[in-house]
Amino acid sequence: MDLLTQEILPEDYFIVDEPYYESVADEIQIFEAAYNNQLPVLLKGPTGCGKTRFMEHMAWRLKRPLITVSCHDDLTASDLVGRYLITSGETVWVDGPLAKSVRAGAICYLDEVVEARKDTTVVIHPLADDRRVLPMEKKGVVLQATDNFCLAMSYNPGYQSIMKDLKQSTRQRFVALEFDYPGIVLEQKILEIEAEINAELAKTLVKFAHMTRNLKGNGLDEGASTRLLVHAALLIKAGVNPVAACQSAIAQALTDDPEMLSAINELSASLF
Amino acid sequence: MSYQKQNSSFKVLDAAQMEEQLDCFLDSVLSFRRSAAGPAKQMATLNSKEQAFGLHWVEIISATNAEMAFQFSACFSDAVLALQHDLNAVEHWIVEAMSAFDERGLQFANKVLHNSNDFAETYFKKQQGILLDDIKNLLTAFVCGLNGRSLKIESSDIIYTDTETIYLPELIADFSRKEDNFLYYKLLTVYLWAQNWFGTWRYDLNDIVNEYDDPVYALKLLHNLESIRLIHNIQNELPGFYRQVEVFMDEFNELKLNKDWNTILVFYKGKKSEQKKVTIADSLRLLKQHYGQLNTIDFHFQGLLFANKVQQIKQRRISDEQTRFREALSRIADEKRYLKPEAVDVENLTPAFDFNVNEQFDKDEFSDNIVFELSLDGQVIVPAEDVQSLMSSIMQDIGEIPEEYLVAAGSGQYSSDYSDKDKKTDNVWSGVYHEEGAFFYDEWDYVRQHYKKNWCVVREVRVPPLYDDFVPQTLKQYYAVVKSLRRHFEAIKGEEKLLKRQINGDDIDIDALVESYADMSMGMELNERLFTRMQREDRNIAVMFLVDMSGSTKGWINQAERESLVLLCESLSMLGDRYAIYGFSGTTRKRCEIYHIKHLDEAYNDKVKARISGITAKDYTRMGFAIRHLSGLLEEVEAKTKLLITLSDGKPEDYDGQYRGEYGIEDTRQSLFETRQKGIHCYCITIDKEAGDYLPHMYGAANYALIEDIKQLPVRVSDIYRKLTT
Ligand SMILES: Nc1ncnc2c1ncn2[C@@H]1O[C@H](COP(=O)(O)OP(=O)(O)OP(=O)(O)O)[C@@H](O)[C@H]1O
Ligand SMILES: [Mg+2]
Repeated sequence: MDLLTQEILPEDYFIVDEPYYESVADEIQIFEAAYNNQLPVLLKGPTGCGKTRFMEHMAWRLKRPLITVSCHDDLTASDLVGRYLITSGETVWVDGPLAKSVRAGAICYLDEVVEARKDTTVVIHPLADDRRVLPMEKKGVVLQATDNFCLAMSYNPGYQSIMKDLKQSTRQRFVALEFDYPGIVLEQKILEIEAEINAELAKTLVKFAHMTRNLKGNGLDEGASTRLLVHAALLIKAGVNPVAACQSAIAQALTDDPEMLSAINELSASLF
Repeated sequence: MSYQKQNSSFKVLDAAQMEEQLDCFLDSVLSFRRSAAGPAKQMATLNSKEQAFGLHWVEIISATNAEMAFQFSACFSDAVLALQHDLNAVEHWIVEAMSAFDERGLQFANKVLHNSNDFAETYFKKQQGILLDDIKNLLTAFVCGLNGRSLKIESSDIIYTDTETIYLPELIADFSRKEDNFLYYKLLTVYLWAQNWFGTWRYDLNDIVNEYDDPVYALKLLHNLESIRLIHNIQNELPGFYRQVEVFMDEFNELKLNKDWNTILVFYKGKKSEQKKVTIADSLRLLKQHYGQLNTIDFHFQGLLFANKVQQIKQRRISDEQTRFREALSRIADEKRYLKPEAVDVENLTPAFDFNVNEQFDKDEFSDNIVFELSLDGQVIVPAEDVQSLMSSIMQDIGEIPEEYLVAAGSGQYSSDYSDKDKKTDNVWSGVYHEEGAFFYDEWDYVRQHYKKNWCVVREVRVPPLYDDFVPQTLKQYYAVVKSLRRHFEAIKGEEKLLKRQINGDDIDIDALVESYADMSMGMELNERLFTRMQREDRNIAVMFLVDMSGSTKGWINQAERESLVLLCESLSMLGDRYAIYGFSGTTRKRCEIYHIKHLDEAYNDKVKARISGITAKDYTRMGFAIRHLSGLLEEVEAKTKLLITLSDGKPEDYDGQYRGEYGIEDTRQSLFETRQKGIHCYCITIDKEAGDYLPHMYGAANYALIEDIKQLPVRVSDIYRKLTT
């Protein structure tokens, strides 16, 4: 069994069709400028506000493959760089996603980077400053990134704990783009296009989203994200009753607290 | 006893048989001049189930107070009738009487017993009605979601809002269905929220109506006009809600039939079709136009317009918020300067703030579509969330941010009146708190199957430290135990473990590789497990130890407890886990004491050691309150695993005799059950030579162990640890 032939090659990570992305401010321009100057980018913002979509859009725009790594608390440096595996009795080196991106001149997007183990900074730091190299300790070599390569990562400041805050030495290597939920008009438009619903429904959904966002810090950790609104819109379009759709797609996703659930359901029921 | 047999056979007792039964329990309060014949005659009219129920409670009550039991027997049949033979309701009535007795004495208990009609009335009302207390949190969250300044919800006899709080009745039971009562609460809430959100309080309504000859009439008329306007707005903004409450709107909808009022409705409708918002200014105009021509209506949902109260609160808030806003601006200006240190002169420049709102904005109509911008020296700035909500609150009150607000507070003005006041109230509150120093906990009364509210008065006190050589002596004496403990706990500690022979990993496991190459050359199958990997262990534990300091521990048990604590601290400090130690004892429910030995985040230092040494046997063992207190503390702590370990001799009892035996056992059992429900693991260690047969029952919800030699204890605890954390 040849593991290498099973892999998806970076070429397959090219995005052919334009991913729909509604620009909120000047983030596209800034990203492009950063990319052209080989600066790494940090996307900050709450969950479901369009960071991943933005990266897809930028990869398409810049015509580079996009390799995304969802970081979790067991993700080590070698998960990013690569490791030895045994195939047919031989030890074979297999590149990790970061090495693969560096070689292919791809955009590597590390999602929720604070979740990763601390030793990952060892490989991120030299890549993110002007050296732009990836040390491959196990192989004893250093990979030099080409101008095409771009490192981007996302980070949600809302969930940080003291343990999991991003270190200054890390954050100060990146150009930071701040994301938030789009304004009323824009978010409405996104729903209309993304879920193909009518303006009236989109408007009501956005209004409901704002109601839940009012509750942030007053019983909810986070209000409804654009992503949840898209979900609810899709359910409603499929024929689900709006109040029920908001309950399943939004309320239940936000909290388990029975009192808050009833309050949120009362709110959606008062709109539809 | 004979009565029990008759109960189970469900035979109806006649008056004579009943009297005989009552005599058994009421003997001590009966005399020649007072017999149980009267009550017996009445109780004879009830059916057998009711009779059995009554006798059962006569027995229970007589154990507390025979006189109350006699009064109860005399009132029982009336109560059964008043409560429509609903024994569940009757039980509530009995419990209320007994609580009255517990809290205020026989006289008050008698009052409850003899007024079963009053009780019945409120009881049935409450059955279908809804208590504000039960839905307060829900309504608060609901209003908070609706928008605007956050509003509190409180109960009051008058329905109104003062722009900070919405006042609602304590109970709504006007409708026969619970849902309708709830809906009505919602209607009142949304209506009063609408007054705040749609600008009813933009102007001082007193000033306005005082310009009319009949201010009372003017205010009433304005109230009606505003109600129509608000309902109209609610209908537009919250169509789903309006549909729900339309059942209550008959009176409102009939206005159409009244020619005069209809012109008003038409006016609001017309505005809507023009896509215009209706504002308080419209209502004021209509007031002027129609003053004297319209008869006022009392919409049942509209409550009162309390212009005086609103004005007071508004004045205070407006000046507070102006100060706070100007302080915020000065902080913002400071930050900007800090970021631009090259501008040396900037200290002397006044920062120029500016405020912009999108154009189609009407000062009287604050709504969520408004986009406002704050800028400093021509640059738009995004203020922090608290400043933003301050800005919207100001906008909600006065419809704009006036010029005089946009001047940053001068330096040195930072601590305004506002924050000073804040601090003071805080201090007073904590001062009072500490003086009184008391916590209150419910206690479970198994006989009545109810909690006694705020029954135990609990204070935290300190153990006087005893600086002696107890700790080193103990460590010396148990040298071997300490050593083996170290090993036990070292194993638990784990830390970063190097896992060998993994399918994948950070590094090649050379040993495994060599082995499998050998295997392979022998023609055997290749082993895939050739890697090593580091695994991290997250320990996130909070443990609290609760030590019995009751009189019954005097002697070897107290000694054993103290020695155990020394050994445990030794082990736990090594693990680096957070742990706390408290003792408990007390005399009667009024003097329950929790002894502080070590707080969760206190280091294991000489003082703590001296306190352990200073643990002495005190008074009695009321255990429930102590468990409740500690589980309350643990609940506040953030930890993945929470553990409550009690060390006691396992015999609950108190001076008043009541806590002895089953009562104490059941309360302890109940408190452990409550703790368990909070997601806290309970482990009860009983230090004694023989196990009481009640232990398994008492510790029901918890794990427990009986030890007689403290050498066993650390091993037990390390076992608990291993079970819970690996
Ligand atoms: N500006 C936007 N343009 C188009 N679609 C958007 C935009 N913002 C959000 N969306 C919609 O919201 C959805 C969620 O966005 P996305 O998955 O990018 O969130 P995210 O910020 O990556 O969240 P997370 O931090 O949880 O990964 C998208 O699938 C898309 O439908
Ligand atoms: Mg994402």
